[in-house]
Amino acid sequence: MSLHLAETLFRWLMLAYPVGFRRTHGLALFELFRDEAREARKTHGTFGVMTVFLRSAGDTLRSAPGAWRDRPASHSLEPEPHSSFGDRAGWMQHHASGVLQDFRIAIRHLRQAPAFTAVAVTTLALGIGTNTAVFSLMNAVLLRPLASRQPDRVVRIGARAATGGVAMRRFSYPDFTDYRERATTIEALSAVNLATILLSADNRTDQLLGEIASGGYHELLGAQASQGRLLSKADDAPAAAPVAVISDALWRRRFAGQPVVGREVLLNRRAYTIVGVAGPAVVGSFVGAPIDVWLPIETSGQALGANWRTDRSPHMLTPAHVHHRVRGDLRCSSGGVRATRCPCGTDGSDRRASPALIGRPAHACHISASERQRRGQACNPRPNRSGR
Amino acid sequence: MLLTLVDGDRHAYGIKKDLAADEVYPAIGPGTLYRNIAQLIDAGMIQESDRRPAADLDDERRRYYRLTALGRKVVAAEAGRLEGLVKAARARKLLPQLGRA
Repeated sequence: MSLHLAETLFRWLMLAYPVGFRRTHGLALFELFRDEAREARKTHGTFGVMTVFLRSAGDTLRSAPGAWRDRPASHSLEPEPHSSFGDRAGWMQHHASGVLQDFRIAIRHLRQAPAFTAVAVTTLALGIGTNTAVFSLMNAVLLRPLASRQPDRVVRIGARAATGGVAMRRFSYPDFTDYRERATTIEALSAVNLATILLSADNRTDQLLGEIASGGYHELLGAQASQGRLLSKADDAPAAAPVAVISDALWRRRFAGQPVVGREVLLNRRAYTIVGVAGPAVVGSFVGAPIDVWLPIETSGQALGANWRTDRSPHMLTPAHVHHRVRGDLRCSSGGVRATRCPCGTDGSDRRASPALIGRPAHACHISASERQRRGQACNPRPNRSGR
Repeated sequence: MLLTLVDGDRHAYGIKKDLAADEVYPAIGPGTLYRNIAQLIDAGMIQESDRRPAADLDDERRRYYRLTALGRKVVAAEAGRLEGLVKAARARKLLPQLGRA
């Protein structure tokens, strides 16, 4: 045992004495121990230091209770401005003991009044839970902008039911492909939907929230990858290799920040290759649903079943001032279309909430558009596949 | 401890060494020593001394203690009481007589 270690340990041991005792005798007590330890080191080396320490430790444990009994009843608890040793530790110890005493009294009172305790705990739980939920919603809708390069040029589009109403309905996948090919007011069109995905890797399975997106989804949003690449249009082809992109949060949480690009994992028990990690700002476009993984629609049939593509339907997004043009354009191809702005202002700072985004945060597909409309262009009528 | 201060002021380490040399308390610990010092100060038997030894013998870290008048009376009374006790023990041949092995 080194002399320094023995001195450090003895300093801690001295906390066993009352504050007043340490104020008066702490420094001298420590000096005495140090003198003894140094002398023992000269004569017996490390063994001597250890012997002195053990003997002093035993003496401390024997004498400290007596020092607590000896202390005057009205000794001051506040630290003196010029006292010598252990003031801060003593002050902290005093206040810590006061907090503990308050805590014990509070617990005792709560046990004596179980009904009051139940009401108090329930009220606190509801209050904290409500606050957390409200803040989470505010954060998702108002504070966090859509991860888009041009948020003012991205809107969400949904179908309107033939029976009317304001609810945003989804499109079928064939409708989406038709819109993408035929719509003249839309620069880029992408479909996306939420899915629960099981990730299996390293002998562990986790349930994740994913987005099944068409190939141009990330490009449309202007999203950036921190590693590897994001989904491309080439990935969204029937014969394309099954690939996935994971979020920065998942990479850190699930893979501990280890290299994952090129690694093969099981998603819903199917093999996928991770081709990239999205940047930290890319969290998907659904309110309150941070996304962990992105899969292309065409190859996602391997993971989600072949019927998924025809069961789900997209909403579409366009700039606000071309809503009516897009609406008219798409109406030529389908029964009814409702377009709403994304929860982002023209400069990305407005962050207004979209009722549709709040009202239907799940199972919505996004179709993005920008103003490249051809003014005055006639509709291109086509048969309505979905029957809407 | 009072006895160690009869010959003059001592610091705690000196008191401890004297106790060990007299075989009264060969291995008193620092905590016990200072607790006793605190009790004696509270009882008015010793007090911290302002007098310091010569500079070449002084150690600034040390606190020196000296007997008070009360302390001197107490230690004398205690020594007298113990002396009477020893005499009584010898008279009853509980202890060997002086001068005999």
